Amino acid sequence: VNSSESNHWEKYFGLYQKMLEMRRFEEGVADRYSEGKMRTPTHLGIGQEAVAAGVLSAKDEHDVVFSHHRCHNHYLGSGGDMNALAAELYGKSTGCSGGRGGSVHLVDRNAGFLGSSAILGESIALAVGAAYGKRTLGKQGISIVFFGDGALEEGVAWESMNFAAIHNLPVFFVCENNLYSTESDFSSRRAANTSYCARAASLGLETLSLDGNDSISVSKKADEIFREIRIGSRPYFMEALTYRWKEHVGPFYDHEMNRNYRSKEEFDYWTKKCPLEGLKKIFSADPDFTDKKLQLIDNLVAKKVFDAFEFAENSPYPLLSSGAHRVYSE
Amino acid sequence: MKDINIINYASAISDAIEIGLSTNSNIRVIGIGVNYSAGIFGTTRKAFLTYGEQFVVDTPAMENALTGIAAGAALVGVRPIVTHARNDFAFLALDQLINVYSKWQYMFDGKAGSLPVITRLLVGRGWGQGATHSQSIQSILGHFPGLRVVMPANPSDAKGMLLNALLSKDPIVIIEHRNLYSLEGEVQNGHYTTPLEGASVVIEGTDLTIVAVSICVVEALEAAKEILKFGINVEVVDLRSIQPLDSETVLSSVTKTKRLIVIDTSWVQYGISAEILALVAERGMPLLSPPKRLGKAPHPAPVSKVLEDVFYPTSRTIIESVLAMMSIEYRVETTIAKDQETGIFNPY
Repeated sequence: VNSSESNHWEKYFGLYQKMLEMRRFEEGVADRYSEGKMRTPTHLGIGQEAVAAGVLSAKDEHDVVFSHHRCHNHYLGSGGDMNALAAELYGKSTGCSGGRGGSVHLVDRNAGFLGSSAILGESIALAVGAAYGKRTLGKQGISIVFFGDGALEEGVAWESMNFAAIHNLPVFFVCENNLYSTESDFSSRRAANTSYCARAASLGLETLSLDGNDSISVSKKADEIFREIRIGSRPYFMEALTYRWKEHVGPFYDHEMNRNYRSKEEFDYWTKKCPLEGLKKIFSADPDFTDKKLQLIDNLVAKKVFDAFEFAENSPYPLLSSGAHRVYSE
Repeated sequence: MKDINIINYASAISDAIEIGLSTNSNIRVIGIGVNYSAGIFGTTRKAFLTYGEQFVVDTPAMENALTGIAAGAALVGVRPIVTHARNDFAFLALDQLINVYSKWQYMFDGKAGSLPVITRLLVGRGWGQGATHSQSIQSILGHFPGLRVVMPANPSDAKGMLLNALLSKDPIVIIEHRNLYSLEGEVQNGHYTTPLEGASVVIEGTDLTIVAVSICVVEALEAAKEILKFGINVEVVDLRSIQPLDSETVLSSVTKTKRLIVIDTSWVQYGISAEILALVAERGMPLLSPPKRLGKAPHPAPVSKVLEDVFYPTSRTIIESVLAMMSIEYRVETTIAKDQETGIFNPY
């Protein structure tokens, strides 16, 4: 076995572990949500893990990441602290935002995850600004921003992309197209025979549309795109087609809530395209593969997730007297 | 070189920007038209000519994204000075100003850093600026905790507050009235700062307190001179900062004079004048006569000069209100009526 081949298996297992962390963490949220201790509207990204894991596998320590309301995957994919994420959902003082931000307002600057926002396209502007800032101050690194297809209905998205194109800024725009904006499908949101990539290309961005549930393909493309952006290519727009398994916000499946805006056939099609199961099938080609290896990863992840919720449960709430702190910095 | 020069408000701002750029290479002046030959009433032109397009950045008409881009840039170390050529354009940027700027530090408990962005918002008036080029949005921005909102009323404050803002970690909105740009005053050379908080008592008096902001301070000072002829000593309080609000200076003045008129560059309902009156009411302060609010007439700004002339409160309106409050009979001489258009032929 040559070293590059063993490296790529190592990378695939890394992707698997990352996606499993996202999946098990969010399953943990869903399982515990009805206890009423996580009192924060929570948008689960179960089913969409391959986009976050694939793209962020190419990130280095100079890069910065922004996200939207469905941000747990991007936070964890950036290397954000899982304990602090769990504690944030529990409203604890040890949360990544001190219990003040909740599920949609996450940050971990050590991981380069600079923030997320609940207003769809808002953080696209922040990401372009970070790229502009890095460029004008002569700093290294690119800015990665995740957003949903719904965000592309807001003007700020296009204003921001236009500015990135004019100044040739190091931005990687990642659209997680999960086909729905809350419960609205394309027929009410986008004219027939148009595409997001064509719109982005018309502004002068490089574009690519791909299967966002294929983590290996996303990861390989991300490697290429990061390399191109680093050497000064135009900013990149990627549309990753994927699917959210759970309801828009909350721990349940839509069918459990008697919602029928998505068909059972469609749901079944996408859950069969599970990013984790898809990757597992490939592992059998690895000459060194053993069931034990997967089991080891499963155990590690299960422990990490269990510990995160323990940490959250055992952490203190913010002091009542702290409620008015930090409106201003001084 | 003298330590103090008489310069106008626009030059004072231009000075502050140049001094800022000469001492901090992370400052960027960003906005629509900042590099034009007119350069935001001359306030950004010198900076552009000296430092060029890397430091003074013209942008497309993208008020919302531009405001967000400045925030993102601040997160990686830039100190942006963003300019919106009218408050009215900043309505397009309210998502970023209110959902991002005012909350960033609080919402992430400080762990996402702060957003030291300066946002300059210009207020238009006169020459038929009309309904959508003459609004003044201090009460909107002051309503949401987290922004600092200041309205310098003289050249010295305009420079000192901007230089101070460049040292602050907080997002700061500076509302500049276009008709102040030609106002001259004593301004210290070189670098200095004036506080971003706290009102100032511009004229001490014993009979009546006028609380004013921005250009209304100038109108109030003019009125105070005339009123003195009637033997009435008016105290003029320049609010300076809208958020945070210096309630103590206001209250201690009203405690002394027991009479209050508030004059604002915007409408009275839900505005600064409502806030100041609420302060006084909440303290149950005894007044010798009911307090009075002056602001724009309760309709959008009309263009036609005959209508525009009576739309804004002026020194004349203030004099009439003061004398009425003091129960003095009078006839206001027409000489003190001032034409806001004098000398202004640049409609932009």
